[in-house]
Amino acid sequence: MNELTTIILRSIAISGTATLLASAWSIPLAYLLSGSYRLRHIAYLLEALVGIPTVLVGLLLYMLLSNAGPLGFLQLLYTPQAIIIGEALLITPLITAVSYQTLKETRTRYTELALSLGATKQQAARLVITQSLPNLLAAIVMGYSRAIGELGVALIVGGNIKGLTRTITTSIALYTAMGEYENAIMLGMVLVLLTIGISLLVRLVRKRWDIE
Amino acid sequence: MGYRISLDNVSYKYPGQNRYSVSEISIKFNPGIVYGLIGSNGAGKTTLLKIIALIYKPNKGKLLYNNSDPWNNVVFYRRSIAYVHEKPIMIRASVYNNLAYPLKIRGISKEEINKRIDRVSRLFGIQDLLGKNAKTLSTGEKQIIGIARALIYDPEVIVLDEPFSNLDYHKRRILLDVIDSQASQGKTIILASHDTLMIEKISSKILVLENGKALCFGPTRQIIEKLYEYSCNS
Amino acid sequence: MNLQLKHIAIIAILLIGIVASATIFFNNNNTINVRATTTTSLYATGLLDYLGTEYHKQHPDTVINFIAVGSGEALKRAERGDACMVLVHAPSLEKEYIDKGIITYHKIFAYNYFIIVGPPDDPANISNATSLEDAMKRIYNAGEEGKALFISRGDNSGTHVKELQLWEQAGLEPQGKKWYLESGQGMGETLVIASEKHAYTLSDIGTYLKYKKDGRIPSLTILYSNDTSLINIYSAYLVSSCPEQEKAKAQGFIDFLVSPEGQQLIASYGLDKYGQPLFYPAQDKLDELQEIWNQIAGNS
Repeated sequence: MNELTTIILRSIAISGTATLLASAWSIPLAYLLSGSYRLRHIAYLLEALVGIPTVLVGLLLYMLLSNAGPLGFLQLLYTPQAIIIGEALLITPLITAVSYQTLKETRTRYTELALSLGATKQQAARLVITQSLPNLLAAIVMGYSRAIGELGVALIVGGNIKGLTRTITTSIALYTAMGEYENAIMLGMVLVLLTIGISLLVRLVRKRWDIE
Repeated sequence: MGYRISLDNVSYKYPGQNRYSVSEISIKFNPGIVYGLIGSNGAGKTTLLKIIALIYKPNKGKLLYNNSDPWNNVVFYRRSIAYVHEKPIMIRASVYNNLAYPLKIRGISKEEINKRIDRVSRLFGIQDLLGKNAKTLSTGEKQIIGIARALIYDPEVIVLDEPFSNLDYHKRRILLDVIDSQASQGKTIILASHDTLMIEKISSKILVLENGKALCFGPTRQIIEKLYEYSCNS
Repeated sequence: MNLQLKHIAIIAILLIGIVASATIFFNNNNTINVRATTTTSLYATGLLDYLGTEYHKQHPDTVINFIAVGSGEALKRAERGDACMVLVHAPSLEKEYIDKGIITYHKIFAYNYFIIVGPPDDPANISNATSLEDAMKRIYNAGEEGKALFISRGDNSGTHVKELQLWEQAGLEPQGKKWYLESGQGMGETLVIASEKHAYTLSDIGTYLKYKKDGRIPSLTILYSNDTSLINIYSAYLVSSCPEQEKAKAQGFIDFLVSPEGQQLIASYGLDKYGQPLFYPAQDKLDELQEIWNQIAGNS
């Protein structure tokens, strides 16, 4: 495999894992928030954090993971895992906020429906989730697009190490610094195609799914 | 046999609101009788129905099913209640699966499900709709599916919010017959509507709500007369 | 609902695929990774990857992970224990960290020259400058007269530190002047900015040659060079706090850099592509370089 292909696949894998991780806690969190009137302020806070700068997340995580930082003993700095954690944190507000919006809409309706038809709490929750899936999927895709397109976290905690933590965006930055604009633009195009491709795919799935 | 449902000074307010949507309602509903609930928009009809159907838990007062608190075993009681929203909510699936949903969550076998769907769809004349996507139905079709979906598990208490509003003449006739026959089987039946004509036709007793309070309650004929004379005070 | 189950299955398979490919990527072999922070200008020429690859061929158990940042940040990260080796070119900064005991095992492994580049019409007329101080004064005066711009790196990199020294030695304080712009970016980006704005800037010869060759900076030309006080010395260090095993590997790489073989690789790097070397090996004039290094380091 040539280096560019590896970089592209690595980016997909890192952002994909980060998105899975973030979804694994964001969607349950959104579900929790959507059901509580008192916790709505947390949802507002997360909404406000949707646009949090990637370099800030990267810097804070660097301070944590650095050997001089409190989590230095984990030896995660300059690893793909560090980027995964950073990107997962970065997109948590986004996935949670968007999921919260859609769950808040569907939750009352479908919970009431399920309960009125005799469902247990768990059965009602399952109905809410399955009915919200198309929109939750859209939230996940948004998170993925932000993760794969971000630079700050990957550069600061990943270190742009060749063959280990070099991603599409850090390569673009490096190629730009090296004056090799052709490669930078090529990777930029790949990035755009990747995000467009994924959202088209999801649109297709949603269309078959969301038969409204 | 349906339940005797009694409300004693029941009040409910939505989270984050100051005003009670339903306040200090005391009333008894007996099996085998059709009750009509009338009142203008915002009078608290839907809220009261949801309290009776165990969807909202009252903030104040006591609600009893046959002298026991249904909230102590709420899923059990809900499984014997049919509650149909004013605008029935359809699950993103076929009509068949919408009808099957309440049975599936009760762990009923596939054969039994097919049998019941067959029976209820013949009763309401909706055999042609079974394979259709429930989300694409007309409002009237959704209404009848919603009612069929709630009656399929043979509930003891039937609570319907504006059941007639979107039905055509033919489907109204069917629904009236179904309600009559359910009442004669001893079910407890409560209907809300602002269609006074339909309520007058089907119910034996009427409760009039205004601003979340019970304005008057009594036999249909008596209440209708009072309403005409604007002398409704209980 | 069956329809939905099918979709969920498809998505699950996709996700499993992603995770599977992820684990393949993140599986580290039995090699030891040596964390090396380094200056962007050095890394961007490609020299380090070239040397790292050559070294890895001979020592398959060692992989050098280069983390390209400015010299200032490279040393800062070393101080926080996030690097085992540093490759930098800012003697005065290096001295501070040596004194603090953060870095040891100093080896000068290469040098080249800083150059002052600017628009070919040379509005400050520095190509006729009699000395480095004179050149800086000419830029300053032309700037004050509104005839010239100067782009500073402004990022605490080796080049930036050098530039600040040049102004200081000429007794000038350009900071805050409106003809003095700080880019805050790497050498390459700064050269492009200087070219676009027809401005002067200080650059290392390596980055300049690479950008010039690729046609990125048509409006820049070398206006002042070949001054011994513009010498640019690249040093390698071990970081004291580094774990022993990694440190031993790092030391192996540094020894390789200053070995005759490593020096030969440095001397020939870029020769075929740019027609002249980007870096000179340090071995021929090590004493002289050490003396200059001491001078620069002591001056601050």
